[in-house]
Amino acid sequence: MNDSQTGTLTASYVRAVARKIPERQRDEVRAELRERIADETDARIAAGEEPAAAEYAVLKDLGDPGALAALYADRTMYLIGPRYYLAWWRLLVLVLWCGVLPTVVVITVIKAVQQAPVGEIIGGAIWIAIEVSVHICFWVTVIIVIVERTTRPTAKSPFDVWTPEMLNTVPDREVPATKGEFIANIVTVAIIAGALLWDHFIGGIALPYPGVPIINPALWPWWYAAALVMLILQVLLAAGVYRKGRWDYRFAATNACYALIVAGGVLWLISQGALINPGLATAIAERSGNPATGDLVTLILNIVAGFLFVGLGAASSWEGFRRARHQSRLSC
Amino acid sequence: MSETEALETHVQELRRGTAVLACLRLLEKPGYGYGLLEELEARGFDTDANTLYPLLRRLEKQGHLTSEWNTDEARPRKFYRTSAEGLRLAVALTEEFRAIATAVDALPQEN
Repeated sequence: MNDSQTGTLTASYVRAVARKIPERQRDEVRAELRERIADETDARIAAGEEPAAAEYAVLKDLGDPGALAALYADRTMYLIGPRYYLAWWRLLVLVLWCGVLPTVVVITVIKAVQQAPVGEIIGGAIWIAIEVSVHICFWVTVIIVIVERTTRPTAKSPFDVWTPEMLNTVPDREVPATKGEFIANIVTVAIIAGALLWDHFIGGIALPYPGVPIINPALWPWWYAAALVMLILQVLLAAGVYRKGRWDYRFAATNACYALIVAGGVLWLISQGALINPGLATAIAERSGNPATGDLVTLILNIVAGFLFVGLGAASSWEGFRRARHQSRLSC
Repeated sequence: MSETEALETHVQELRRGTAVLACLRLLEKPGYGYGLLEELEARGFDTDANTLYPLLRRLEKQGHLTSEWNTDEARPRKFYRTSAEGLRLAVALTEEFRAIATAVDALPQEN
């Protein structure tokens, strides 16, 4: 083969590979590659191909110069390989939980104390959650990528410390919907209904303000009726689960919708400033002689109610789906 | 995945180790990339060029092969030769392959 005739493509190819090879290996790889391309091209020409076509075919077979360079330079062509994938995933989940949740709570409380509008509080919570998540995902991934590239491929993963002692020794128990659970559900509903009525008609639950309800009396009768309907639905759902003997996805979905409606209703009332009895703030302010104290107590009650209903709703929805999934696994 | 594709994947996996052994044995006499590729094929160790060239580099890096550039001819070529360490590896691998062959023979035969 006459290198000067057919060599321009080869020269470009070798250049493209060499550019991605570390300096000290570059000359060696360049020479090896020229030898390889020339030998393979000659073999094709000997088999009857045109020189230009032969060279073209050889380069095409060699493929993307970047991939070949990575192969020659022993460079990883993935971000996170199987060695660190699990470590990365576990770390990510752990840090996300530990990072996002507390940040959102803290920011929400700070904004609430600063009397920010409800829209701003909710928007701020969502925004901070996204921002913190993106940061955590990025930095955790960067750390693992660096570890992946700075440790020898044969070295044991520094995160690879699993031992059988780490197994959860509590066996996967079947989770039937028991009678006890159903009864507990009814008792809970009865207590809530009783507390609501007590608060409205007698007032002063757990607070030294006899006759002053915590829940806004203006919500009587329609919102109380709605609460009653929701409580009855809760009993019906529990009864359905108890009759069937187990959770399934339909119950779980119904339960999640239910939780969404309840939490949504409560959040709506909070956002309208209509959940807590304004008379309570007045009563507290009168007794303590400081008008700000009453507002502060109202604010704290609002925050507690908001987190309580959102948290309980999320936990209940999750538990429903978990049990439905567990059940569907057991049955197959 | 079709049946032939599955077969090909498994055969490839099975043959991967044999290429190392064949290279170490054949390079007791110095040889260069493309010449080795042809000899491997002639001897029934079909190996892809994209497997062989990186393999030679890896074996050299591990010290199982030594290399030298031959510039006597118009085209400079990198000649590889099996090192003492490579020879020991070849012996170990040969034993291992024999053991595997014996073990395969001892498997329950198809009727």
